[in-house]
Amino acid sequence: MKSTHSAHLPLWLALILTLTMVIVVRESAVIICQLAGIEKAANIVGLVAMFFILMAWRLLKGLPSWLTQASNTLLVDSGFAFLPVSAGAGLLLFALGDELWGVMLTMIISTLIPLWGLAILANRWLNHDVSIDSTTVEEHKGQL
Amino acid sequence: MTFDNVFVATFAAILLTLTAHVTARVLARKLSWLPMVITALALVLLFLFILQWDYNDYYDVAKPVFDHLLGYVTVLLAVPLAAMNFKGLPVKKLTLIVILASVVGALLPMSLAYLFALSHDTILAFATRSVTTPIGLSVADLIKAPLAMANLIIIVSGLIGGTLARFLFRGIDDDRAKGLALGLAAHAFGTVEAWQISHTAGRYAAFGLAVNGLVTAVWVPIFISALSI
Repeated sequence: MKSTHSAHLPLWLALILTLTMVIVVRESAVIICQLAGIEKAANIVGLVAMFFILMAWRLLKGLPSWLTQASNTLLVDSGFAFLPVSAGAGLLLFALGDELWGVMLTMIISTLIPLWGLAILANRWLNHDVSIDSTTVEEHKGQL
Repeated sequence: MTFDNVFVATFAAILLTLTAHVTARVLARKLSWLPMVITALALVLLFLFILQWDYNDYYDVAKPVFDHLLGYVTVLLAVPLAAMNFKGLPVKKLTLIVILASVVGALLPMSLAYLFALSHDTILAFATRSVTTPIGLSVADLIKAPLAMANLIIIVSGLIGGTLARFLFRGIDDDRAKGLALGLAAHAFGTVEAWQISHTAGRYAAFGLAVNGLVTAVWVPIFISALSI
């Protein structure tokens, strides 16, 4: 199963093709979810549908490198899409009142403990396989 | 500031947001220590204050357009996930780590929020803590959690994880482990931090972010609805 294969396209064309695919999949998901009465699940359904489409493409032909290049370019600026909601979140922080300390403590504990634990676990498990076959994994470290 | 025409108001909202985003991007390139999302967010609030434009009025006109953009970003996250190269990786162990990260990422903050006697809406919003904003907002919408609160939790926890990761990773020597943990636990901010560590860490973080988002987006709404919370 090939992850990506080289197929050169100018970046602007890659961006247009990627955006067209994303818009078609998402808007189709919206229509299907409206018909099924689950409008709010449209984005998630679109994500899952896109994943399966791309996996089928990958299995049959291998994904073209222009697709990953275009998605990397677009994802760098993805923060723009949630800026209006984020601004509301910034305002909300000052209006939390009594909940402020509880929310802050919950965020700190529930972020740092999993981050630390998962890093230790991944370090141990991924490195365990290095000792079994160091050549393969060293190769992989470079390529991924 | 008020507008008579909805089209003009929507255009003004997009222009204001775009100006804040582009300015934050330019500033983040010049000052690498500056977190781009926080700068852009602060600039939007500053512009609204200067223009005396009420946030609720601004959000009302921006929402229809930005809801579409949010949907497109969510769908786009399938690309790095589908393009991941699993060759040579211990897939079973990796799957276990992802499942663990997704379950702990939602249940730990919800339990803590419950222990701290936070409100019902806030507990629900904490279900989205470990997923990236576009997916988190879609999940929040689905489980009827307040969007602004969910977004606040996602942004601040990502910032905490991204900022303190280097101190937590002192005994960890594998960049793949650092990247994976950052993507799984600190989503977008963590991924940005992982790219600063190395390219390998960055790619693993992007994978962690996308796969955790996808897995959590599937089980959390079903779990919440089954519990009728």
